[in-house]
Amino acid sequence: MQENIIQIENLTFGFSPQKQILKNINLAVPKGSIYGFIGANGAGKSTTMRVILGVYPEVNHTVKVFGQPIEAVYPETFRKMGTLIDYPAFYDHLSGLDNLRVLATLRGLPQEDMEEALKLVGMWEARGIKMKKYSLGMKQRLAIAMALLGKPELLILDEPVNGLDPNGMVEIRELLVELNRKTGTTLFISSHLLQELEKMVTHLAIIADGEVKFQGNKEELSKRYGFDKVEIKLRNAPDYLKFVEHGRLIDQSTLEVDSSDIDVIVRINRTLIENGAEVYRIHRVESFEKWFMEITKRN
Amino acid sequence: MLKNLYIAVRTEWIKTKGLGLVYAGAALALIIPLMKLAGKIFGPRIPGLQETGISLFEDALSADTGAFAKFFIILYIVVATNRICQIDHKNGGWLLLETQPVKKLNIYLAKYLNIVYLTFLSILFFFLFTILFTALGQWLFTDTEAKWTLNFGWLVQSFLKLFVSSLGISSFMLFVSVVLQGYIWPFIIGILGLTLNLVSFFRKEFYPYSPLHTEQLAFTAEIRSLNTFMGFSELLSVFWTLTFILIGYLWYREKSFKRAFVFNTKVRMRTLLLLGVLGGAYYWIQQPKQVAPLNGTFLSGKLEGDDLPKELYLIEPEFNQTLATLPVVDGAFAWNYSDELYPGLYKLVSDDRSVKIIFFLSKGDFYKWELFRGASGDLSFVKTNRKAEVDLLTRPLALEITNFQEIFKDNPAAYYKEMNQAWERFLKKLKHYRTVENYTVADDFILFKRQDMAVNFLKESNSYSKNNGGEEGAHKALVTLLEQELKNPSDLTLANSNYLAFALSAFTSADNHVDSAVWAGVSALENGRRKDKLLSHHVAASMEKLPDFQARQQLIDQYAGAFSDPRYVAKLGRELAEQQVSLKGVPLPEIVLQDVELEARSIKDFKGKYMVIELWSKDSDSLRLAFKDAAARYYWYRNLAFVSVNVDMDESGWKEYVNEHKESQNLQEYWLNEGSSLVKGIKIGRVPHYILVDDQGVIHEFNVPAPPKSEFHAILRSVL
Repeated sequence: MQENIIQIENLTFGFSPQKQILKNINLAVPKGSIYGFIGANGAGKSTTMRVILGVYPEVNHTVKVFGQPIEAVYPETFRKMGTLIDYPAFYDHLSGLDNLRVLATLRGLPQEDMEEALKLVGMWEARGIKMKKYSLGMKQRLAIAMALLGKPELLILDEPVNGLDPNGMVEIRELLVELNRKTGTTLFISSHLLQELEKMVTHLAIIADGEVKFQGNKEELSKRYGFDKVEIKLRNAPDYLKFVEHGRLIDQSTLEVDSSDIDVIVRINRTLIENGAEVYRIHRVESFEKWFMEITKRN
Repeated sequence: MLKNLYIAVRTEWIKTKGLGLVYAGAALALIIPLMKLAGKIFGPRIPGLQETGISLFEDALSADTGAFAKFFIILYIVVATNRICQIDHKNGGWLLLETQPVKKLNIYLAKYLNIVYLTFLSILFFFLFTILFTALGQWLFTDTEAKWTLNFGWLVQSFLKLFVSSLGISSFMLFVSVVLQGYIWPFIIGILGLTLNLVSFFRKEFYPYSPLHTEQLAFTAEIRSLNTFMGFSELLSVFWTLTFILIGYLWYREKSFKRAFVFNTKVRMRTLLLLGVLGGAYYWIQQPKQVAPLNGTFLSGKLEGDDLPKELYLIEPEFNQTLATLPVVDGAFAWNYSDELYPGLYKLVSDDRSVKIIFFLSKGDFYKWELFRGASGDLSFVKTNRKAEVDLLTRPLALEITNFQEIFKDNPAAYYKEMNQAWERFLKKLKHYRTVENYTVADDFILFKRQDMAVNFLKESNSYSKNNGGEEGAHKALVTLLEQELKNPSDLTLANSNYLAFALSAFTSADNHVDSAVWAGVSALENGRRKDKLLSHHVAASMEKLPDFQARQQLIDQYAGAFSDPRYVAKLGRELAEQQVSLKGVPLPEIVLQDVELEARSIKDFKGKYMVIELWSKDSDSLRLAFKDAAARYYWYRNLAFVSVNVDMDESGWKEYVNEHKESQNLQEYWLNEGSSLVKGIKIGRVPHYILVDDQGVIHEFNVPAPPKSEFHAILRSVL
């Protein structure tokens, strides 16, 4: 049976009974997965993460980490966890190294661990500079280093690539994926930058308005909502719509078909050519962006 | 648990790196010692300033620790606590810590312990800087001898008192700084606490309900005079520490008052229990304490300095006789007594009157003195169960009714209403009176003060009724109430001259003011102590009005048989002997003085002029100026001479003083060899003392009030 490192069952949470922020949330984060937690701003991502971390009180015992209710295992279990919640937390009057030292002291970790974490995120050279002089990207990298400190089994990262430039995003993404691949570290990552998650997650959940609209692996999502589509670009598209089975006219030069089956696409293409259509491009439409927009639109 | 707490404390300490808090603590600790040293470098040289008999360092620390404790250390705690909390309020510091393997309790306690540690360092800096700069100042700028010793017991007590009294302030400020995000509000609250301390200082009141008030309580009294090593202020500080750590942690754990204290029934019950326990503890701590009387009476003390007396005499107040002789061995003396004692003001004196301590004593009391004799005078400290009584004797409760007659001249109804309210206020004040160590007045003294005040109220009320009339019912009701207080005068009241004079005046009536009515009234009293006291008081008072020795002796003889206790007769005899040399109508004894040219002058040389004699000592500086002014003011009265006689300096010291201090016009300065013997011989209680002698060399007034008082000039005008 698949072991879930985070398990939430029927979590409802709010600061007043009249206004619930999270409504009947169910999540299961498999051990070893990279779990994407996607939602627009204000959807409830950070609140869910804070509840998981015990920052917000949850009295109904609906949240488990490492198979145990959180109220029973915190704060000791934080030794196995690394976190980056919301805006990265740090002490700006201290240097990057001293910020890590604060956490290393709390966790009883040696100097080498700090060095390793800083080198991993490319911040070793800037270790002596006070954090108030760091750029946003440097702060984000240091925050990730702080989360990585002590080689945690579970990383909970809220918007981890916020503030990074495109190269930085790629670096961090590769770093996290490699970490997951090499050490089996479970990653629970939230973001509204869907393209970033799309490229790295194995599982995902979509939250909107405090409700989880979907959770599962990528294939399950695609299967459930049928979002494999092919877009055909041609001249005078309206004239050729009648030749495309289950096709839709998107605009004067675009037709869309709900299928990604190669045989079907070859057959449609042949029919169009035979009827004189000037086809200049056929490509598959597939992205979290579309999925996300679709699911939140349905809400 | 402790290991985890230690780790949390270390972590918090790393977080303070770069905040400059240690430097700030050192800087604040440096201000007072540095300013004092700067004063010595750049300020005026004041000649004649001598060291006291205590250690040079203790002297400096005693003078400055109060200011440091009442202002600088509190300011430091306010700033440091605020700063430490701000680093977590900013940039999600709390969240970062709370997602680490550390308990919230440890996070909270670690912050508190770091503030405590920083406070400890600042106090340590203050002590070190004070000692260092005092030594430097003494070495560089002072040529007088100083006692270069360090009393570690005193030092440790002062340090711990300052430190322990700061714990509650740190706890409170941490609570405030954690709950209220941002700099402003915690800072304002801290400043308000400091302002309240300032108000307390000027109004001479204490506000123990303010958590920022403990240092004020701790450093109002001299450390050497405290009865206990740690006392009320420290207990209060520990209470505030526990209270605000508990409340602060509960709030911090939930980050909400609602969730922490009223969330559900269980939480509400816990809150009620907490309020009950804390409220009960506060009530118990606040209750003023009375020290239970001991089985016997114990007096002890230690004298330090040069020329110490070989023995001290304990003089009882009832018959003014020596009750005990206390040998002084290696500067120490002690006296234990298990018999009954009349309560009253006893005296402990040495032969040469260099030691003269007046104190309230009754059976079961203890007194422990420390007396340091130095070039600039004596310093004395006392531990006793009669702290509140000592306070009330030196700083009596104000008699607020003094001006009522004038204020309510035409409004008797308002007068009696105010008098009744003033009486109630007085009783309330007396009941709730407490010293800085939270000692209250013992029951025997409360009764005495009530009866003493009842006499004052009766005198005022009777005077008002006589002068204004009206509201007879209200007057009668007030008089009845007050007379009820005096129905059974206590032993102490019977020794109170205010009461005795009032009781004697009660024998006269509106129609019969003659003295014979008083004699008749006293004689008719039942034999006993009350009669003896009233009679003795009246005989002594009447003696002063008689012109010569024979008449006074006859008066004593006339009533000698009326006393139950013959010791009162003997006491009157001694008083008569004293009056012989000190009262009006008696020729001034021959005194040979020496002027600044070393010429001898007899007091008789002034015959033919009225003469105001000022007997002064080196402690009389402020009143000396007033006497010089008076001499200048009466310059044109050629039949009046102003003569100043120093009674305690050695010859060369006096000459140096006179040469340094410019003489005023019309004032002649003299020195008297063995001047203290004269003071003792003519029974002068304290100097400066002023005597007016007429042009025949006869004492016209033996106790002339000090020159700043209008009575001084009224007496002079009466003879000019």
